[in-house]
Amino acid sequence: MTIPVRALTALLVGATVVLLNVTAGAQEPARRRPEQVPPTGVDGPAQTTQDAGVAVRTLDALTNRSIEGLTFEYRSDGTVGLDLQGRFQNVMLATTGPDGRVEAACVTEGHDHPALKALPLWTPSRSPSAHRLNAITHLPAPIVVAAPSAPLEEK
Amino acid sequence: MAARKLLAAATLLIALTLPRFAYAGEILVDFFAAPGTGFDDSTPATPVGGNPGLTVGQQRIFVFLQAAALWTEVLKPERDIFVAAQFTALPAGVLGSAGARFIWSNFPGAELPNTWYFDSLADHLTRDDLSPPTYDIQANFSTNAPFYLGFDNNEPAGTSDLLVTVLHELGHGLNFANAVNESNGAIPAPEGATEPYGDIYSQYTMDVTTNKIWNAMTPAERAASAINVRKVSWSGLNVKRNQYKVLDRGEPVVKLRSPAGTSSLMVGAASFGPPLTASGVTGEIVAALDAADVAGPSTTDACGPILNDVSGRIALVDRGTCAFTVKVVNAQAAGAIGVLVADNVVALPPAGLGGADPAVVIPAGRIGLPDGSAIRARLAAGEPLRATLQLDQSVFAGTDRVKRQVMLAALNPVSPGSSISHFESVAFPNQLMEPAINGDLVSSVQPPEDLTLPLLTDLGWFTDRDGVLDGVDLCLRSNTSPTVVLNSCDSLVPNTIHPSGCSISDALNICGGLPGRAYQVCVALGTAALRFGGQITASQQSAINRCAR
Repeated sequence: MTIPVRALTALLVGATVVLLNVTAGAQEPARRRPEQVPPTGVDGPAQTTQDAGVAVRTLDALTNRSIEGLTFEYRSDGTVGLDLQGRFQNVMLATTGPDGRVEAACVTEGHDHPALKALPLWTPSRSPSAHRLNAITHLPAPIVVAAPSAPLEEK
Repeated sequence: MAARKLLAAATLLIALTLPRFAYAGEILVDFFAAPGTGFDDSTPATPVGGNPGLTVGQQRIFVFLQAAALWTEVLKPERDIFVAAQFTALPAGVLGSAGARFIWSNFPGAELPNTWYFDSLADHLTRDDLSPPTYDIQANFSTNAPFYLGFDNNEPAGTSDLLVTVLHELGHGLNFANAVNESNGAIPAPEGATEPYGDIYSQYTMDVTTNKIWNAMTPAERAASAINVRKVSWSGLNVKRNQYKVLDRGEPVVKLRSPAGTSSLMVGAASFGPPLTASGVTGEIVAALDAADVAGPSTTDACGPILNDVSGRIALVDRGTCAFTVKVVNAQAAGAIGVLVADNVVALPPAGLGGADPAVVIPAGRIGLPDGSAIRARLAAGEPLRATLQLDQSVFAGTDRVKRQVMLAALNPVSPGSSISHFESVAFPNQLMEPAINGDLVSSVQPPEDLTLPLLTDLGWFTDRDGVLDGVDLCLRSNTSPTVVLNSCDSLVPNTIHPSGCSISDALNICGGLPGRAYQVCVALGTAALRFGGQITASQQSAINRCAR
């Protein structure tokens, strides 16, 4: 369905005004759209690594595919869930060749890579108290960045 | 301030001019940052490669939004998919990590029982948010990594394309990965489960040696299959349908010939020198010897000038100490017509040879350590060996030789987080979901460039909910109306779904668009075939035919 540009503009401007008024001072960010931080940075307190629940683990923890210590969640409709707690991750490593070229690959060289011994395991929660960057309260207009109208240029 | 206004105007323009998503859900990214770092890095930046950001932080955000928008556009999720993203200082050499937070089974809408689905796909199928307190995908990238932030895949040497890297990592979060511990073959199962559990990715992971899918294997069989190099492939129908649109014909091989017979070895192609050809280069293999000196401690590493006669032959050298290009240039200078670099670690399949040097004019490739050692032993025993380093045109680059299916990355030794949950590295053109992010990738996830979207289609991202798994469903977007309706005439005949995934309406849809009488004849032939096949009764046949008039 194609929406006339004028109508879309009016809708967007209207939505912007409403959103700016509604979300000013709001505790929980309306985070239902791809968002953007303000052009000059964060006005309010931002997420710190501590807030984000960062724990220091090794690569073994990130790519760990054992479920030992994990808890299954059972629901009345038969649904069963398993919180992976940051395990089963895919880790992208980069190595720089003698010619300066960077080669990036998902974990291929085993677990003894010295750079990986202090890799943070990050398990943030979608809690209202999280100080995530909230575009709605900062931007002059909420944006939705869609796919480009023309195909990306190929090399 | 002027810059801020400019960006605001630019983003508003983007919002106004680009098409809105028309589906229920989107991939949404929450950006986490410590003040002044990561996404909040206010270091001024010049717009690059289509990225309009005016600070480093903005450009990082735009890359994530671009990746999220691209995935949203092609996947059309039923529910919002929540991604938590942050850039923090990670150890040198680590670009980032990503993955799902939850896996789910037996939820309403799950197409297979006792089968795990990643958070994002489970939400999509059940049309609900199964874990509101948590993110579906977590992505953590490094502020220390040299990323290129443009959208045009034009990364300069020494950098990695962030957009492609984020697309890749989000792909894993969208279920381009299994829930298997490849080290022992185990799949998570709840306490007390009486039936074995599988995962939706393993439903289409097939070992072409045993002809078994992973969900039908014991853990021990899966562990053995995980290292069955180039014998594990994807059996889903949608990848099969698209593989020849995407992959080129020709797999790099070394054909080895001796009085004892002929064999074929896996080889990793070089990123430098002339590409391999179908006819290839053929010559006697000779072990190249150089001095054990400061350039290289071994007499077989080819890090110095070659001392023996390799002229007109294919030189066998060992990996180690110096760059691959140095070894090949040394062999070339001694007259070699090709080079085989034998790996110095057990890692199969052999990786390619990285590097760049325009001075290289002969082909080269890497063979595995066992093959290299075997060749050396045979040469030492005086056996004459000839080799052809070529592209084998009998297969497409990335398909197996048994089922002709697109291969998955069975690696020996097994590599958790990498094994199986990628396409095989030999695929060409290079694919987004290979283990390595190759420099020639473009930001595409679908044919004609890429097979990632067809694989996700097999998993169920475009299910028509007809009860037939999408990876074997011949009619992916079935007409699933309760009864067969033609020309607004309800025949009241149940629109049953065939095990192929096609309904009676799908079968008759082939007649659509034909003019009057031809349409009636077409439907009559169709219903006759359906009756002959036992799909409908005589009275139902008549009812449908009446509607066609």
